[in-house]
Parts: sequence; structure tokens; C-alpha cells
Amino acid sequence: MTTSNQQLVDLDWKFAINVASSESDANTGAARLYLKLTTTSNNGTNRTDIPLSVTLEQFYALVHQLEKAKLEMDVYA
Amino acid sequence: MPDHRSYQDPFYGWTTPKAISLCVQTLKECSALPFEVIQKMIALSETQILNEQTSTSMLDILWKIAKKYSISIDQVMLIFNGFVHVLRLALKPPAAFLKPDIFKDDLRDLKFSEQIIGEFHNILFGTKRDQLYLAIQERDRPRLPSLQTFDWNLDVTLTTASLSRCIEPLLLFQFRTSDNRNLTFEVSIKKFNELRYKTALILKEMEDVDGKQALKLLET
Repeated sequence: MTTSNQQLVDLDWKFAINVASSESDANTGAARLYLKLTTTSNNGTNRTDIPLSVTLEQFYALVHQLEKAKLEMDVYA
Repeated sequence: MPDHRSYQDPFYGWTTPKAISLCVQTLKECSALPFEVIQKMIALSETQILNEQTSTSMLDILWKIAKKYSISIDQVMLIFNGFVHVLRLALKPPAAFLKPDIFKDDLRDLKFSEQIIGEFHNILFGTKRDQLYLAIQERDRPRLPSLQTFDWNLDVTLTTASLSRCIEPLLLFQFRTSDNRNLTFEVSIKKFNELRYKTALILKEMEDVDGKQALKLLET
């Protein structure tokens, strides 16, 4: 894992349900989460926005990883 | 019927291009070359324009011809280059302009033999005619990347980080261009309606342009 100079500043999210699509109707009713992570470099300049779109399954996997990290941090804090 | 030379310039221009005059000259020097080989080289120049073979494999074929009939590769290249030139110049005027007899007469003025003229006629007005014109139109001019696929997704936003219970539509477009760029962006409903209006306006303008007399193709 590489460490870069970017630090997470904000996490904005939006929860939406698919209503129609140009591909087949297989996806209607599927729920999705749109995340936007805002990172900035160490000295405060150079803000970058990272937009992501995750399905519910992927989001639960992400939350699982974050909770694991939180538990480890709580042990040593 | 007035001679076509009085109202239509020859397809190769006002003077004989150097490549073609060199080709004719070299053909005279290599008069020992059997006609089937010349036929093969003309067919090869057609594949060159249609870009169907790689240049290395075509070069191999030309080398083999040079070795088999003991002529220098320079002379083979001059002849081949002349053939490709003739085809390219013949494909330049619009398809309806260059009628078969005018094409043959012009080739006679260039001092090609009757057999070769017959070969060229078969290629230009043969089965691959549309493909040749399409290749010249679509490929051999500078172009910007074009739109390959266009996908859209309509979602309904239920909650956001700052608002709960905000039932709002969310329209996402994904453009994939021919240079492998994937452009994904949101479109607000207001902008989407403007897009629909502008598309309808473009379609109407295209129909109007089609109707204008000045842009219709003139047949001689």
C-alpha cells in the first residue's frame, strides 16, 4: 500500500434507486450509493474530488472493512 | 456528343503526374513482365487502398516478384506506386462524375496498354467499388474522435448526507468515444430539456439544408 500526501477531508454521499436505464430493464429497483471523497494535500492546497458509485453489496463490504479498522484503532487509542 | 475532353478535365489533373509517367516508362523497360504479374500488382494496389494487408507482407510480395522475374526492386516499386496513384486519383472526383468510358479514355491518354486499362476498369467499377470510396471518405482524412456508445441511467435520490427524504430524479450520461475515453456526468432536468430542444433544432436544420438547391450534387 502506498502512502500519498493526500488526506481525507470530506465524504459526501447520496442514496438513489434506479428507475430506468438505456441498458435492459434488469437493473430497475436496484439501490446505489454515490460517494464523493474530497482529499487535500498536506499543506491545504490541491483539493481533489474522487467520485465513486457503489452497489449495496459493495457498500456493505466497504463498511465492514471500515468497522474492522475502527475496532483495531479503538484497541490502541 | 461533344468529346468529354471539352467539358471535363481528366481525372489525373492537367498534366501527367510524375509517378504515373515513371510507371509507364518502367513498364516499357520491363516489357518482359507477363501480364498476370501486372494483374497481380494492380490487385495489390487495390488492397493497399483498402488497407487489408500489412505493409510488411505487401513488401514481401513485391520482393518476390522482383526476384522471380529478375527486375530490380526499384522498378517494381515504381510500377506499384504508379498503380496506387492512378487508383487514388480516380477515387478523388465524386463517384457519379467519373463515367467508365471517360475513365478509359483518360487512361489511354496516359499511354497505358489496353489490357491494363481493362484491369483498372474492373477494379474501379467492380464489386469493391463502394468499399473503395468508403475507405477514402472515412479513413483518409483528419478526424476528431467520434461517439461510440451513449448510455444513460435514471435514478431517484432518496437521501443525501445533508437532506433526508429528498425525492429527486438523477440523470447520468456515459459517453464512450472512439479514442477510449469514458466520460460520465450528471445532467440536471433543466439541461436535459435544453438538450432535447437543441437536438430537435439540429434535426430541423439538417432537413432544411438537405432541401437547398445549391448543395445538391450536379450530374453532367
